[in-house]
Amino acid sequence: MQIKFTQEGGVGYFPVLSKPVTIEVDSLEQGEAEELKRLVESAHFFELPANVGTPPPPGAADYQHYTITIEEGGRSHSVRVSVPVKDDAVQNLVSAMQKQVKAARAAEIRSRAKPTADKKNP
Amino acid sequence: MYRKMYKKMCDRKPIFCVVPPYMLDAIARNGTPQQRTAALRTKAVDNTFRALRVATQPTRFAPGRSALPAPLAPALKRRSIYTAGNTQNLPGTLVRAEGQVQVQDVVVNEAYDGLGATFDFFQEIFGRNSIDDSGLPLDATVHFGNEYNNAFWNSAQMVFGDGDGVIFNRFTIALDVIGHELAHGVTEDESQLQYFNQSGALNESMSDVFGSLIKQFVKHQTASQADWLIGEGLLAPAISGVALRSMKDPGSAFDDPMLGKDPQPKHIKDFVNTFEDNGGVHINSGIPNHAFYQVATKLGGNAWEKAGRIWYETLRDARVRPNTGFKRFAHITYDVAGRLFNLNGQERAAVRDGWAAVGISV
Repeated sequence: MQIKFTQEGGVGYFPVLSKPVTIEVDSLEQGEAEELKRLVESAHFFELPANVGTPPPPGAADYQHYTITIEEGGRSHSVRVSVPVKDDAVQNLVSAMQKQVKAARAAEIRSRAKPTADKKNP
Repeated sequence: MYRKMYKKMCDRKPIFCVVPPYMLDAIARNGTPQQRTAALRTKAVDNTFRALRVATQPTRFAPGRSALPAPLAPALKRRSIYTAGNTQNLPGTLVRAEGQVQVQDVVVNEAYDGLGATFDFFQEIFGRNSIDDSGLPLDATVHFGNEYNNAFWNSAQMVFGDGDGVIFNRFTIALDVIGHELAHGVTEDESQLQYFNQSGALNESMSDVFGSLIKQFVKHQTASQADWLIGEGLLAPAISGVALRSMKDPGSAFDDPMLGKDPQPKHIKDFVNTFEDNGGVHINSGIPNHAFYQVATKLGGNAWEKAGRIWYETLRDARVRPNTGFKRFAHITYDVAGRLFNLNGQERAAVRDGWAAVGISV
């Protein structure tokens, strides 16, 4: 299972936070992978409509939405989730993904920072 | 003309200058013949005044709002702070209403005080009675979502997340961000600037301008003393950056591996064409933001007195349409500066030079 997560909108624009992050679920630790799969299932992700949550009414500003695309076993589905999200199962899935996204970004930053650190301390 | 009419009216019976119309009616019905004549004459003049006020109003009225001037009732703050208790349910549970004493939760008190400062600013400086100029109660929800990294205006109320503590602190921490969100309501009420591309960047910029002015007003800062940062204190300690944006030097607010580099341009030649962020509304707002900074610092003193007044009256100008872009907006600020101050005055010259600094000629 592969999950692609993109966050857009909000009170400011931050280039890194807006970059899509891809999570290879099967390369996660077994417990984490199982938990994510369970959340995808309980959100009935593949049955969700293309838009869920609360789309911004006219005059609203600084709204956020997420785009989640999941590929699994030859099928693929994309959902745009607009905050606020009333469906708890969808919200739990989003929270879990945000946690993974944060971890993936932190790992990327560490891997980029490493060579510089090595240069400083040969 | 107003002054002449006022004088004429008050030469007759000064007391009637402050008597409300319904009392004049009562005097006309029940008073002595002399009182009746004076009351009817006053009422006739008063009606002319009202007609004049409507006819010369430079602004168009928002849909759904009465075309008559708002009654001159004293402006009253009506604040309600709710907590979503880390859910995404709006508005949540009421935790502090108008006039109630401070609570333990600093976030609630920051929201309450920030709403109050915003209300006071618009009332004292522009004579505006709340967001819609008709006394709209101010509602805010705090503790929205779980470690939610954002604040937004949902067209009816403000919503604040707690931040994750890693990238962002709580969103009530910055008074200008509170002012920013409420100012979206003012823009929606006055001009409905569409929230994408240039009109969206102007919408964003209006919120930054008023948010910054509210902070300066509370801190008693002149244009040269102000830091012109938006959202100072909002970035968590580990992040390399000082704020969300800088009006003084757009593009310099942050540069951190977790966030990337502040993408704001400060000149029209660096305008960013993008599909992201509603067509770059938080990116290209750097251009009009910097123009405002330039105008305010050229004029000196308190930025809300002249530059702020010009921008506010421009937002209310009937020529600002939902799809207005930078160039048209700049032209109207130039025109408004001439109308408010002097056609050949330093204010109008400062507006022209301020826009020129970002590459927009008026």
